[in-house]
Amino acid sequence: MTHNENEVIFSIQAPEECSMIEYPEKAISFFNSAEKAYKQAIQLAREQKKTARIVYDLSRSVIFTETSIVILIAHIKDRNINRGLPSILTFPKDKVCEHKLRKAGIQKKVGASNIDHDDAQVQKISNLQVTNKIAKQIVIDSSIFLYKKDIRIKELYSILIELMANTNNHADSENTAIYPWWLFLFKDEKKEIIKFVFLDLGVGIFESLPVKQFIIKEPLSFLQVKTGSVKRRGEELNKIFSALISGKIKSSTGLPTRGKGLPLIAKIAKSGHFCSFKIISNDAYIDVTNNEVSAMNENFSGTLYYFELKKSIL
Amino acid sequence: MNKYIEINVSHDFTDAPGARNPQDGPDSGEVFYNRLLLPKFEEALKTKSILLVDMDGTFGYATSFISESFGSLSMKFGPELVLKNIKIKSDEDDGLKTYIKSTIKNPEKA
Repeated sequence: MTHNENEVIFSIQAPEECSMIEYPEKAISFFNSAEKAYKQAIQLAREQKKTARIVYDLSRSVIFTETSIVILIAHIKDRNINRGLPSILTFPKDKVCEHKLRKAGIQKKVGASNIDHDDAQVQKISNLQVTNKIAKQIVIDSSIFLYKKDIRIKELYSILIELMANTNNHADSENTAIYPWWLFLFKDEKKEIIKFVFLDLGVGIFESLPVKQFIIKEPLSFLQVKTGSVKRRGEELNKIFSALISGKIKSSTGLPTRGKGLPLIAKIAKSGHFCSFKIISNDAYIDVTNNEVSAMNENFSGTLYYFELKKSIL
Repeated sequence: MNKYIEINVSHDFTDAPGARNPQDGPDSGEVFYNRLLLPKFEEALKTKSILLVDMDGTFGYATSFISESFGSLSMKFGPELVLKNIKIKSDEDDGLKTYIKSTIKNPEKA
C-alpha cells in the first residue's frame, strides 16, 4: 500500500501463472487479495478523507488465461466487489501475455463504466436474468463458427439456460441474486474450439443453503469436513457433488420440483460436445468430464464454469 | 379414433424456451403453462381429445421449464389423467420425452 497527499493506493501483485484451471490456488489467492484490498482501501480513504484506487500489477505474469481474465473484468466492473473504486492495470512485461489481455478487451485504465474489446473472437455478456434470446444467438454463432452452418446445438443451449437459472437459485430463496452472471466466449480458430467461461459470484455451490442443510442432516462425517485434511475434504466434496448431480440435494427454494439443473449440466458435460468441463466453487475443483473432485487450500467465493465446445460428429 | 389438439412449442410459443418463472426471464415454463398448456389441456378434456405437445424445433429446454409446466399440470390434474390425455412428440430428443413423462409421473420429484 502507498499513500500520497490525496490518494490511498493498494497494489496487488499477480502471480506469474494466473489460471483458474491450471493453477487455481495461486489465482484465487490473487483475486481474494484484490477483494480484500478494495475493502481496506475504501475504509482507509474514508478515515483519511482521501481518494483510493487499486492497482492490479500483472507485470510479472507470463500466463494469464481466459478464466482469470473473466474474474479480473468482473472485479473491475462489479460494484459489489470494487465498491465503486477505480482500478488500474500494470500490464505484463511478457509481450504474448500482454497481447492476450489487450485482445480480450482489457485496457490500461479501467473504471466501473466500461471495458472495450476490439476482437470479434471474444464475446462478453453480463446479466441478472435468464436471457433465452442471448443463449439462442450464442448457439447460432457457435455452430456457424464450428460447423459453418446454423445448427441447433441443444446441449449448449440447455447448459446456458441452466447456468443462468442456477445463478438465481444459489441465492437465498427469499432474495433475488445480487451478483450478475458473466459469460465470456473465446473462439480458438486453430483448435476449432470455443472456450466458455461462466462466472457466478454468488455464495458458491458448497456454501449454498441446500448443501449446508444436507450436511447437517447427514452422518457425523460431514460435520468434520472443515477440520480434516485436504484429501479427506476432497472425499467429502466428492460425496456432496455426487449427491448434487444425482438430484439428492434440492435447490435453495426448498421446493421439491427444483434442483435438477446441476444433474443436467453434469449429464450434458459428458455428451461428447465438450472436450473439457470444469467447475470451481468454494474450495472444490471439479473435473466434470472425468468425474474428479478435489479440495483446494484456497476458497473461491462463487462458482466458475469453464468448458470447451468442440466440433463433434452430429 | 382419437381427436387431437396440438401445441407446437416452437411455432406457438417460442423456439428459445426460458427457465422457470417470469422473474427468471422471458418465455418461462410458468408462462407456457398458463398461456398454452393448461388451457389446451382443459380444452382436450372438455372435447374428449388428446393433447399432442410437439417439443421439436426449439433450441433446447431447461429442466426448470419442464418441471414448472408439465409438473404443474400433473400436480393440478394428477399424473394418471394427464398421462391418459397427453401425447409428447420429441423426435429430435428421445430422452426429453422420457424426462417429461417421468416429470408427470412424479411431479414432486421432478
